Amino acid sequence: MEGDFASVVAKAVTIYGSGFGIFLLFCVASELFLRWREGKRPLHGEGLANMLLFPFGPLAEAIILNALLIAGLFQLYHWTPLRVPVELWTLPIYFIVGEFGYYWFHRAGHEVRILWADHSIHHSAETYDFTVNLRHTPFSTVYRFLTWAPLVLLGFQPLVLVLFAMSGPAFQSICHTERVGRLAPWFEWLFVSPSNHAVHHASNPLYIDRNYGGLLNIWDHVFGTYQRLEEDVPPVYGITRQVKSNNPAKILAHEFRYLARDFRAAPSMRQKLGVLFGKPGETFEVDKAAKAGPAIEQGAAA
Amino acid sequence: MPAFDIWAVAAALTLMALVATLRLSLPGAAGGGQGTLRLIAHPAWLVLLVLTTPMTVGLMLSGYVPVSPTKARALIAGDFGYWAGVAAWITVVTAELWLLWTPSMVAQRFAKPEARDAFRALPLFNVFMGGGFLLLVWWAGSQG
Repeated sequence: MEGDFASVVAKAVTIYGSGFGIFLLFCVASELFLRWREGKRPLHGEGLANMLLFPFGPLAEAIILNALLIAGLFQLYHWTPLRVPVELWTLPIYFIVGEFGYYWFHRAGHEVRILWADHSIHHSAETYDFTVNLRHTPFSTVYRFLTWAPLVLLGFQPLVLVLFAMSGPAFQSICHTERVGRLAPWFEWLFVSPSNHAVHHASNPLYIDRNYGGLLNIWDHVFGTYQRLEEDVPPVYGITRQVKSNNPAKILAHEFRYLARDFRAAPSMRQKLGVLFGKPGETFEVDKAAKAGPAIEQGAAA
Repeated sequence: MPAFDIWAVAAALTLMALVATLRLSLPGAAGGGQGTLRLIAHPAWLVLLVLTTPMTVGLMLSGYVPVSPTKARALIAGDFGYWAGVAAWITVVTAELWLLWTPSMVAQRFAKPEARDAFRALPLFNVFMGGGFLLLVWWAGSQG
């Protein structure tokens, strides 16, 4: 009975996702149209790079990655005696927990350096438009598994959990644009919007590591990571160490190269582990060590 | 005492979302209205559309719901009753407004000043894209 209902929910969420896909297609088409109306080249270099990175996202996920993710999570589901039933009354719980799972998957992608090396691919676009929706990353399934595994061990049915955690954030498809300003205050507080998602994509110190929500901002409010867009602090899009290239291979390898360099150069095992699992910007870095060297010497001389 | 019909509640809620959509769709109507009308057309009702609009478009795409609101009403009413049919009619009309027209109006309303010029032709583009999609779905449906 539960299995039947779970398959109905799975089918419904797939249909919902395909509907959202149509709106994503419209968003990308309108981006090209608006650029043409603004007298710009409809497909700029970065936009083309974004499109070339699209196969790493929904395409690869639809073909194999989501199946692997769900299969892996089901292994854990069989090990745990806990069960959260999939029934009409538990769907709101699955929705909120799906948002929670997405929040932590997304936050881990920003705050664990080895995961950031992957997630930074999506963030390294220096423009913020609808084509950024297509700029996907190859390894997000790995940290989806890691961050959603505890929820499955608590008894949440993997298929329904994954579908909720991935379909709600599809709403972000209509948020990657600079052309729309701030919406109603209550909407900005509760929902991911073009304005508060712009904050998420900005590299200004005020905006870094903020607004991780998928569809709702509730978990950002709970964990203190919500930040509204301030009028006097215009967002600077991209990452703190910009790629400065539209070559997809360079975009994919950018942060991984720095990660490998710092891992090799880190003097102790503790620092090597810090490079992999520490917070970006707070771990051992070759440049940081080089910059700190003279400062330490000056400090000693004084 | 007549039996309570959950679909009548659904129809009422979807009607609120349709009125709120119409308020956004008509230039100059967004700020208007007082009292009851303001409550009925409040943008808070649009929250329902986060669920219903992509779902309706997905159902159209999968061939489960026809593009014609009248046919959708008849189909759903046959399975779930009169009020479910009414809710389906309203939901399909609302989804089609969001496909054909409303996004361009919302974009124009909330556009930053520097983007307004480019947005002027957006309604036509919206009709072209949404209309093209609906025609394709209708054509695919008519091929069986």
